[in-house]
Amino acid sequence: MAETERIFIAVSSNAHQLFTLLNCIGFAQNATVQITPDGIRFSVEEGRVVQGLAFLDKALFTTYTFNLPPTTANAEGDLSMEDAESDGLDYPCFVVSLSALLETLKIFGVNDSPSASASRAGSVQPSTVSASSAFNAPALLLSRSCTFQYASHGSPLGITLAETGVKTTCELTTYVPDEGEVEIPFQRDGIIMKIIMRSAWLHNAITELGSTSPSILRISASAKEEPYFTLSGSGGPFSQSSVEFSIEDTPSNGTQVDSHRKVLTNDGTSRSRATRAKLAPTVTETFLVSPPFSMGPRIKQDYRFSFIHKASRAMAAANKVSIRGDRQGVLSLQFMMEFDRNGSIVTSNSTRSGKDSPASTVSFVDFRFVPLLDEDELGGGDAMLDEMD
Amino acid sequence: MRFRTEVVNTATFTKLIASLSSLSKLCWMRLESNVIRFTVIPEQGTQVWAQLPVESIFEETDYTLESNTGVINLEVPLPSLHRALRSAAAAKWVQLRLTQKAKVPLLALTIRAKSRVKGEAALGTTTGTNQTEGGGPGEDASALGEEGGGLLNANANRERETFITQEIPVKVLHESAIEGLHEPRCRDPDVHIILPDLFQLKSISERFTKLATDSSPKAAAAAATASMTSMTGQGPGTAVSGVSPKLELAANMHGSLRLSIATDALKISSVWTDLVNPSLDPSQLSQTQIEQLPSERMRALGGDDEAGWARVRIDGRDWARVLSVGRMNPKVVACFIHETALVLYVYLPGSWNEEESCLTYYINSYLS
Amino acid sequence: MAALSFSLLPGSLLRMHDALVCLAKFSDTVSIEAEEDLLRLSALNSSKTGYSAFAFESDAFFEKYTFDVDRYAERSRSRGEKFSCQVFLKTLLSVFKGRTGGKDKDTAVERCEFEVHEDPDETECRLVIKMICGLGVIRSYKLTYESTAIQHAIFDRSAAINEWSIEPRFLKEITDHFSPSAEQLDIYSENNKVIFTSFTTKITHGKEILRQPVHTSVAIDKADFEQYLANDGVHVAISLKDFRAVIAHAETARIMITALYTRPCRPLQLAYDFEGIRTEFTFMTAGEPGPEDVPTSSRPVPQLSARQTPALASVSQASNLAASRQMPPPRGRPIRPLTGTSARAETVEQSTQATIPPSSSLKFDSLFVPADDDRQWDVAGDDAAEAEAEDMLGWDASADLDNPDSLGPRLRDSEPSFGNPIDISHQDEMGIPPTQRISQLNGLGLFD
Repeated sequence: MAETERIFIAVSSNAHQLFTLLNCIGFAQNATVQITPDGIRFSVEEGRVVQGLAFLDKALFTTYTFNLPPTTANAEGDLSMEDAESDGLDYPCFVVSLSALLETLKIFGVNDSPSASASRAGSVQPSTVSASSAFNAPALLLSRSCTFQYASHGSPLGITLAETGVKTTCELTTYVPDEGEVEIPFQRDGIIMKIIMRSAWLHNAITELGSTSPSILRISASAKEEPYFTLSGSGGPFSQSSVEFSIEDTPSNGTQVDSHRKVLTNDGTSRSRATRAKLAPTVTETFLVSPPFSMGPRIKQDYRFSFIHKASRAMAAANKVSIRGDRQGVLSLQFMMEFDRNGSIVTSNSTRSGKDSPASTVSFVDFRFVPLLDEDELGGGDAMLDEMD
Repeated sequence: MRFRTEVVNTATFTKLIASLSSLSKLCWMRLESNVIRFTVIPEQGTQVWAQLPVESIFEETDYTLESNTGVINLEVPLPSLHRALRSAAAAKWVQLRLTQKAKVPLLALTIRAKSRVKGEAALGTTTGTNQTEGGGPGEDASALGEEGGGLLNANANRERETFITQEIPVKVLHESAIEGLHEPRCRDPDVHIILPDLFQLKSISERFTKLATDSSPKAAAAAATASMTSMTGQGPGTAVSGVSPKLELAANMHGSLRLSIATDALKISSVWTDLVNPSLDPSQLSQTQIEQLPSERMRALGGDDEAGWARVRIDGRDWARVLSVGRMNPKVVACFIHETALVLYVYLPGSWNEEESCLTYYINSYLS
Repeated sequence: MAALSFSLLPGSLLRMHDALVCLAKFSDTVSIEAEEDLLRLSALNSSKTGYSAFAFESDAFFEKYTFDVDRYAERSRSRGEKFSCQVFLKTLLSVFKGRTGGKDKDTAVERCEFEVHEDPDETECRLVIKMICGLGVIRSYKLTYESTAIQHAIFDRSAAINEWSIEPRFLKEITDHFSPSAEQLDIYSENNKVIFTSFTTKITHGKEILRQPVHTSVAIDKADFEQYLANDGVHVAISLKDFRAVIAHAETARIMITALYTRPCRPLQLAYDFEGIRTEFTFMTAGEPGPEDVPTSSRPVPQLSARQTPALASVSQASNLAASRQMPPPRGRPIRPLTGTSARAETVEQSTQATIPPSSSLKFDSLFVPADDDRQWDVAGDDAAEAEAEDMLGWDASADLDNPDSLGPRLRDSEPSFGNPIDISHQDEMGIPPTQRISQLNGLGLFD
């Protein structure tokens, strides 16, 4: 097949990076894929209440070639590039098995660990036939490549992994996406909470809470009174648990903390937290909580714990997380993934035409969650939760 | 009936048993004066016929074998033997013998292990305090046990010696019980090729198997029904719950090996190139005979001709268990008999030319 | 108002976690008891053949420890001057395991605060555990608990005539040789060797013979022991799983294990103390009782006073006692394992063992009361009870704070009348020998 006929072909020298991003949303069996001129968008959802989205920016690839599908062009007549870009629906969109894709990407590097075992075997018994395993040398890892390609509408999504000595080709069957699929609406102009912190803190908290198997996760945040930011789990078989993000070393200040802190702020101490108008937990970088008047000073919102837990791979892998809530209670978790600048990533960036920003080592994975509105739905967990506050 | 020997190559013995143990729980072990044979015939899955010279694992000069027929046939539980051999990993001296207790024949493995004790000052001190606190009987007793105290002081840096006896219940097989067992015979292969690194091959095979299991519930269900009849057999192979996908393995006489699998959701294949198609020993066959071999006809076909590939369909999980022999770091020649069988000749390190230590794996091809 | 509160620094928290991990190998629940000067965590296995306890000294182990005995006694008079409750180990472990978030040092646990809120006016009592972590992260847990009377195993150390001490790593090395499916472990010494032999009590027939577990015996020098003061030829057998659990814990503490016992079918205790923690693991042993045990049934047995029943405060305890009437007799059967020993001892061993029938249905006696015999207990004579009682095991339902031989102060019973310390001989009367026969109960008045 000639290059020009292909809708899309992209080559990466770091399949692991792609795997890490896609694995964040790996809670679902299938993913909807959309190829755009800027990158590939993978989205998954479950029960219309959890949605995960990973975007493989074209900057993650060493080469990225996207040709507008000729079929689309024909159907729409003389369509200019601008028109096409403004309407994302015209980009190729299909469903593939995400679990199969992840499993395929894992084939890369299956050979990473054997060198140890091979040498161990060798030491026990000197071998005369070990030449065949000589290709485990680290230098050869650089000759690996991972190619994604999509030839034309309806054709399979091809993934080719090449390493020294062996080449693996996988053709993932593409399915027509479900028409009724809609995004969970997140009201960007109705954001009442925005908290940015290290993703690891969130991951630790969710892991901690998860160990007592709760059914409900409550997020409670207030900019005016303690506790400022608390995640609590309830409805589990054993106990109630909560993780509170407080201001470090506050316990001795007791109840007078409010006025005391404000004085500090007015004094103009140069701490970054003090320059902020509001009180904020120590772990947060950004802590903006502005509930609507009807809600009182505190935002309290419940989610099904098992759904939030689906984002735990992303929590573990990400560097930072932005936790946002809108007036409707929809929760958005935006994870920033940062790959280190050493090694092959940097090398590949430098060989590309230098128009891309160095920020190409940062990618984002998004999750959205629909809140539990009817508390009765999960039984009387509410009374217990109130006590936790 | 007597059998007693010193095990000199514990590592090889352990790995061999471990490899066989992944295919079956039971093994027919045949002790002869010069060779030891291990045969694994699971009700379902791959057969192994292995033969090793006595000296490859045992001490030749300390090898006692007495029996009316000159051979001893045993049925040995492989997991137990494997488990027992693990105790011998750091041993100075290992003896294997056939014995009997309460009318149960046993393979007894006696192991003498030595290790040097490093003085652990901190621990000793703490305990000393403890003992005093604990008081009572301990103190009185240590006053009496003078020699005990002497030994205590010697603990600091001395050689410890541990004797371990592992007794594996076995069955002695009568000659009549095994006379019906014969090694399979196959026609000349269409393709013979040296397999690539077994660890890599195993990893990729396992991932393919997983892909097929995960992504194709329908195919899985069908396969489950098909293999239901084989579920009753013994050995780990048949204990698998549900399905075992079938992998297609193919090779040609131009150094290529291909592993592939297809389901509703995907088609995937890995291709190795630049592998070796070993030449046959000219001393055994005349030039004309060699030319008439099917493999030579296959070689005559071009490298890119699909007709030059010999294919077999094999059970994914069984194949992974077969490949566990990779721990012995062997050289493996795979002989493909197109759509019929795959025979692996597994040569243990050091035995390539002698061809005495060889494990032969017989794997049937499934119909597509 | 907190009836009990204490706080732990990270090092102690780790120790407590290790203790919980160990206890979880014996039971699903842990008993928590608080006294003025110690906190005890203990677990008793379901067959009552194994009891393990960790006593944490209030001043040496805790950063802060507050237990207001007077107020506590005043507030809940009916319960005695101690606090005791039972909690699911799984729950408690999930709380304590959190500290293993090793890579994020910034938010590591800096202090653990543990409080018991018990209010007689409220139906729900709670344990509140707070983990104060770095960067202002506070994890808190509320656990409900079950108030219950606690059973202890009694073991009289002064009566133990066999004793040895050894580093746990040597024992670990030994047990590593045993098959994971091996059930029991026989220990005895001969000349200069100590022999550990695994055996199983499952019956195997014909073809099944190949599925028998490997029989393993490991012989080490007595010199490997810090001290070995046990009589040669005395076989004691305990559950290998229990033994492994103790070894694993002792390894975390890197502390010498001491074993104390008298003879087979009597309890064996493994114990070690470190860093303000006193541990004791008491196991019922199986084995050949030996000649000195033969007259057991005719021997006087300590009186089982009817007054002991109040000690079993809760309904469930009472039902346990009822069940105890079907307890087995002392082991009259030889239960010496069938396996060989060291290469040297081999021939002797083999000939001996060939004559011993396999003990197929061997069971460990319960620590407290034997488990499956319908023979009636004999009447006990008072005088001889002293001798017999030495190594017996029984409920310690009384407060025995002054008994110098017990590992730690015992709990007070919930019955005020048992609140006073009692002397050892009295305690002995309270005990039930582990190998007691139902036949011995006859004429006692309680179970007639």
